[in-house]
Amino acid sequence: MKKLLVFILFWLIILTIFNSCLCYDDSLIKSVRDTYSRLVDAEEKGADIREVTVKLNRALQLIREARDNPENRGILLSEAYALIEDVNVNIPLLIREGESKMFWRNVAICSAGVLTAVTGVLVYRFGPRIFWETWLRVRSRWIVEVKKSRKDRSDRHDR
Amino acid sequence: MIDDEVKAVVLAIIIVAGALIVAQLFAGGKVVEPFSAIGLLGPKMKIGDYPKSVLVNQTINLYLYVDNHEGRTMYYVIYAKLGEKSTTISENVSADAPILDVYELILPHGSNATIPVSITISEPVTNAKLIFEMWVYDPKIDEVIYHGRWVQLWLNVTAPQIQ
Repeated sequence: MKKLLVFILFWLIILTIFNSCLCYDDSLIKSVRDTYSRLVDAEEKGADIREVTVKLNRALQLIREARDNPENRGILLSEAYALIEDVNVNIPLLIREGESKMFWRNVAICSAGVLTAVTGVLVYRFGPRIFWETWLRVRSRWIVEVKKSRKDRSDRHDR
Repeated sequence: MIDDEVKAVVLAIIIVAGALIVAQLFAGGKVVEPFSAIGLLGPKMKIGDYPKSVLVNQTINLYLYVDNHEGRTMYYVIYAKLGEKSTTISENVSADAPILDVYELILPHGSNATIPVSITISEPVTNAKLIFEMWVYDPKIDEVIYHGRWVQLWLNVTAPQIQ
C-alpha cells in the first residue's frame, strides 16, 4: 500500500512538472499577446514600435524553437521571457515619445493651416501693390520709342 | 491698379494650394485600402518547384511569405492544415481539417517576412490539400480570428515501398 502511494505521488509530481512545462509555453504566448495589445495601444498614441516588434518576434521564434528543441528548452524560454519583459519595460517610454511626436505633428498641421490663411490674406491685401511696384521699379528706366512699320512708310510713299 | 477678378483668381489659387497641403498633412501615411497577403514559396524560396508527391513522414520544406499593408502592426497566426479533396475553404469559412502546425509572427505595417516551414505527414493521402490559413490575433476581443486569406498545395502522400 505504501509502495502504491509512493508510486502515485511520484507520477503526480512528474505529471505536474510536465504540465507546468507545457503551460509555461502557453503562458509565454499569452504574455506575447498581452504585450502586443499594449503595443497596439502605444502605436495608436503615435509610438514607433518597429524596434520592439522585432524583439517580440524574436521571442515568438524562441518559443517555437523551444518546442522543437527540448534540450535547450529552459534557456530558450527564459531568453524569450527576458525579451518580452524588455519590451514591456520600454512601452511607457515609447508612449511618451509617441505622444510628444503626435503633439508636434498637430502643431505642424495647425501652423500649416494658419500660415496658408495668413499668406492668402497678405497676398490679397498687399500682393497687387507689391507686384506693380516691383514692375515699375524694374521697368522704370525703359525708354519707349515709337517706330513706324515698313508698311506705314510705304503707304505714305504711295500717297 | 489691378482687377478684382485677378485678385480673386490669385486668392483662389492660394486657397486650393493651401487646402491640398493641409489635406496631405492630415491624410499622409493613412492606408486607403488595407490588406494582408500570404504566399507559398517552394523549397528554393521561389514560386515554383513545389513538391507534388511526398512519402509518409518525409519532411516537406517550403517557405511562407506574409505581407502586411493593414496600416498597423499585425499579429498573424498561420495554421498549416491537412485537408482532403473535398475540404472546402473560402474567405469567410476556414477549412475544417486537422492542424499540422502553427506559425506566429508580428509584422509592422509595410513590412513582410518569409518564414521557413517544415512539415511531415504521417499517413498516406491521395489528393491532399496542404492548406495555410492566415488568422490574426484581435487584442480587442482577445481571440485569434480567421482573416480570410489562405494558400494551398495539392499533394499525394504515399507510403514508402517495402522491398
